[in-house]
Amino acid sequence: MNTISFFNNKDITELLTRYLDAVSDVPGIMEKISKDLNAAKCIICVFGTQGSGKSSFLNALLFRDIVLPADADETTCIPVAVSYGKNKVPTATVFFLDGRTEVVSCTDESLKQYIHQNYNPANEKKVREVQIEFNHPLLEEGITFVDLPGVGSITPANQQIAIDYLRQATASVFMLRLGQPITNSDSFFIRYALPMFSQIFWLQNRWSGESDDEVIDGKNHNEEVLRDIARKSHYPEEKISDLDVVNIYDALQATIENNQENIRNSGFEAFEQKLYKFAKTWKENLEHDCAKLARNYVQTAVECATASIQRLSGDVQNEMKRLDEENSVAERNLEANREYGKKAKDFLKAQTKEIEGGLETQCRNAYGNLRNAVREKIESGMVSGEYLNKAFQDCLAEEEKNIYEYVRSKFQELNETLQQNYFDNMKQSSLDENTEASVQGNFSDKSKLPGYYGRIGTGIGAVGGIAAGAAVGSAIAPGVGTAVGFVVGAGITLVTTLLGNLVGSGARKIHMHYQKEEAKAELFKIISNYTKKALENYQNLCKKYCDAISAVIDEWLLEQEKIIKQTYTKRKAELEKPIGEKQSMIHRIQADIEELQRISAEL
Amino acid sequence: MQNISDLIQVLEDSWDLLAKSEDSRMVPMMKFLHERLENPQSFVTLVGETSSGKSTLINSFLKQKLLPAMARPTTGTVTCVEYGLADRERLYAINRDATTEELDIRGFRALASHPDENLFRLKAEIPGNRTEFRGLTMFDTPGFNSIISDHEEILKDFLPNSDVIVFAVLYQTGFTMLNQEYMSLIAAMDREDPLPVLLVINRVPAGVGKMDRRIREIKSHAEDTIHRELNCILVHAATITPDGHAELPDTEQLWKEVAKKAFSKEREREIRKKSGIAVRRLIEQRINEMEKLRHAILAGQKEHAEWQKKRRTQLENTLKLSYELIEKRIRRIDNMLPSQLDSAEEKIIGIVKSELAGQSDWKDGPTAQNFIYMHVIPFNARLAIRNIEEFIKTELHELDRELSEQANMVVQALNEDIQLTTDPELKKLITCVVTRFATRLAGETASGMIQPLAGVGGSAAAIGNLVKMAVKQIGSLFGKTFSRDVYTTIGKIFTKKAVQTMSFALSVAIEAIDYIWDAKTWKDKLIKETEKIMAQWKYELEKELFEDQIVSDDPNDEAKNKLSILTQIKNANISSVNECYSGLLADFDPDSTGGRLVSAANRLENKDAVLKEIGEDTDQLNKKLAIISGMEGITE
Repeated sequence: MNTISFFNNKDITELLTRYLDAVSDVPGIMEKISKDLNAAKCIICVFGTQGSGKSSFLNALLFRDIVLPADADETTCIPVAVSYGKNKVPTATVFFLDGRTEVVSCTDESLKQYIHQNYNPANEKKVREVQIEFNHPLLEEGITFVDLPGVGSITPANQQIAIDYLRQATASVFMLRLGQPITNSDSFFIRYALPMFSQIFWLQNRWSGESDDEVIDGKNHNEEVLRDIARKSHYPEEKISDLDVVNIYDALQATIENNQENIRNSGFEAFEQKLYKFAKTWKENLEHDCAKLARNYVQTAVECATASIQRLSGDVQNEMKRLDEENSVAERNLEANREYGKKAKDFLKAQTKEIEGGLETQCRNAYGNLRNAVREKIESGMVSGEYLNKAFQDCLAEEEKNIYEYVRSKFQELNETLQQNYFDNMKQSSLDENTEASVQGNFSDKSKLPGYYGRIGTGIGAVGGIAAGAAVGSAIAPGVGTAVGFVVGAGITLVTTLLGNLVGSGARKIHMHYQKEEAKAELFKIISNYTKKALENYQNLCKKYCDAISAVIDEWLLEQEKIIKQTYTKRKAELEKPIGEKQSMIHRIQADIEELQRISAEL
Repeated sequence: MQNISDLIQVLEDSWDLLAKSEDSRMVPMMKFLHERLENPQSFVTLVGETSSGKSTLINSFLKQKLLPAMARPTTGTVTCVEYGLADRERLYAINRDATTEELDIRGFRALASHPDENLFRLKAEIPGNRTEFRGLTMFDTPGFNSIISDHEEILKDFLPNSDVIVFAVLYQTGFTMLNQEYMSLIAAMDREDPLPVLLVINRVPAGVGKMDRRIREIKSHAEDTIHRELNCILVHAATITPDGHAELPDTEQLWKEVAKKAFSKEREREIRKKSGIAVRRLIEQRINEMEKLRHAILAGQKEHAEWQKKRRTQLENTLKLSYELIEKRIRRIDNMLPSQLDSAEEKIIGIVKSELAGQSDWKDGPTAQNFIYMHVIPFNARLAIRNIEEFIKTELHELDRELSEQANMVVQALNEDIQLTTDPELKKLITCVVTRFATRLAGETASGMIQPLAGVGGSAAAIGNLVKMAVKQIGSLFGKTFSRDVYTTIGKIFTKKAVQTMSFALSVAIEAIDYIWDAKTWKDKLIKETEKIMAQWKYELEKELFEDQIVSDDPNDEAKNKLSILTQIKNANISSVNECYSGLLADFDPDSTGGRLVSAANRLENKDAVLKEIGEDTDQLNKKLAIISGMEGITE
């Protein structure tokens, strides 16, 4: 039996459900895995620090030409997915937020209009994503490369798309650059994303001007930062290794010229080969892992079934006594968990209050900084309304980023403490310690099954994971610049008109105290509105975050309670059955065990 | 609630016992604490631009024209005026070589307006009988628009330790950009307790009150900068006598407000608490020393000697390794920073280019230039600086981890020794050694506790007597962590320097504008100018970061030599490592004069007598500890 048909098989699902008491949703998990196996798609996200050359890398790797617009700075603001298609010539389809699609020509010039920051600022063209398809050997085995914009450069509406891609991704190419250290927001993003990939290719882009010493130092620095991140997110540190150093710009040039020697010299060839190797084997690997999982399920079910037979054939009174004892242990555990849960929620609440308080300080700082920025600009003679406005927007975005950064780092800290002090202490309840242990033991190995390992029997670790996910989701969602847009709009126009007529080379010398003061007052009003609104928004976000994690804890506790009750009722009913019925049950279970063993052998 | 006098009593009663310590810093520390407790001083630092009237504020408190008002901003000399402690007026100069010279009023004023090279500080002790101001110590600082480098000391040492900071702003000039810059540096130093800033608007015309539009703008501008509300006091301009001389203004309200803050109940409690803890630490340290000696005498000599030898070698290796780690890390930062600066430079030029290329509708050259000089360059430079700062921080964080790891390994090894040793006395001896080392690691030594009491800028140190000189030494010690604390101070200096360098490069560019706004060529010219600005910025910043300027014969003379930021970081790390291990090294030093460990213990002839003395001293000091523990408000 192959793995796909195992996970697809209704009878097997039913069989497993009957015995895997400690797993709350066997059918759901089976369906999910079978879906993933059938998807025959492997998403590789390309992401990294701003301006690390993501688009250039894909240009060299797939197109051997400049197709994706790439400047030295961060330019891509829309996710671009490249996957297999029948035609040799790439076709590009633009997907808009409203569901419209449009086929456009797949060239730098035309793509720029949709995915380049300068041509589509703040995604005013309302693009969701761009998909490119063409016949390329690297894509043949269902590989999709996704050029993911950095967190900061993506608009809120696109964030969900980026997150969805991350969630579905199997592997990633993470790009770094020497001159630009990993920032805080980057590190947050990496921590969120790390556990989702079974395979990460680290790539450090090298500039032509960089000496070998510098490159090595840079590599060490980056590796240290990454290891630190791994340590903190409980990701196996050893996976942070083999940072490949490639000169992407040389590589791109060489691929365009088809100069194999230069491709090799740039370090690109070796990296390319790694990817090809991965592309060939990812399917086998995935299947292999799922097969392991399947065998493990069957094995555990057999153990559970054997335990059932033992109970059914034992002395009723003794078994009943044992069941009651086990039940009371389970309930005590549950009670202890509830206690931890309660403490965790109290802690969460108190911390959230503190963060809300801290936000007041943050917003107050932003308020002062912005007012000072306006004073500075106006005093220094910046009198063109249009440019004053531009400068003001820059400063506003910066302050917004600071506030966001504050909330983000606080959430992160809070998540860590919750996990360490509360969640790690909570035990998964079960009426059968053995079963629990075996399920956990085998599944806690974060195998190449991103996304759902956390759901399978890893106990409260899952709560942490889910909670973190929820927190990240809600923290990223409002994103940078949300509050700015709607508060600022109207007032700025007024300032522009006020100062607009003063533009001109001689204008600065004209006495215009009055207009300056008016413009200042107008901007101060905007600042005041903005900071009020930002405070309100972010404080709401804190509340949402707090509620979301509380709900996850409650839900998990309820689920635990349900499992204990159900198992108890089921086993009690079994024991209370008349002897004849028990006998036939034993026969049926024996038949099931045989069936399970048969399946196991076939696997 | 006990009085400070109880604490003084404990200190005096323990004096002879503590003075027996092998630690040469013990006596100076005791003397310092004693004086601080006897004469509770309060430190008031006055800052402001040149001519903002700081000196006049002090003069009018003293009701005499002691300080030359409007002294020309030629120097960075700080003048210290101490009120109510001395019994006669004493004026003197403290020189850079730590000598003092008593001056008459003419000499004093002459030096104040024309200081010579050797002058470090001026100090005036003014007697007075207004008890509510007794111990008020005022520091008149140079205006912050004068020479840059001298302000670092004020920022680093004076402000964080001041009980009140008087920030003087002239009504006529308003809250200038310079004021803003300086105030924001103060804001950056706010920790949990915000620095006690008092905003004084000076020379306010008669009849103008708090509702005046200009007053309100100064106040709100200052508050926007420091991000909190400020207590604001108006000092009205002095009346002019018929013969054209200015009288001293009425500053009674200001000084009352200063005294209220400087001598508040909370502050007194805080001092009492800190001093109490410091006294306790001194006693604990001495008890620990005696314990060590006791066990060293009693321990089996052979095991003891073997243990000592083994650990000394290990310790020396650890120290060597720690230095290497620092060296390696600094070299790495040194290696990587240039490319970070390069990429910042390149990036900003790129942004300017794309700004100019992207906007086809630039109204004209001057507007564009204004936008680029006033916003695009400084704004993006600040972002780049933050990135670089983040990088240095990460590196130092790693270094900190590595150094702590080394120190922890030492603790671990010693703990293992305790487990493995069979000799019970040696066991106890090692326990004492570990305890002392761990206390150092945690930054909880007596000297660490005294540091915050040292007052303004180890101000004390400035004043030139022996006791206080010792405090400067103590003040430079490091507490809690290795590298991180280093960064918090030096990192700020870097940021400040980087921003300043940028404003400097820009101001040069602005003054040099001489091209005609030709419609065809201005964009190219502007880009060329930008490139020049960025190159200048990078050049200056690299100098600050990497170039040591050794002018003194003594390369370690930090006051005279201008050391690069990297060297400063390195030195601070080395001294923090040294401080951490110094006690341990002495413990393992066979020639240690105090007789801490075996060889020294063996040299003792009258062991029994020593043991008896130690026993009695320990009992007595333990009783003192119990007294302190019984005092209210000294719990940690």
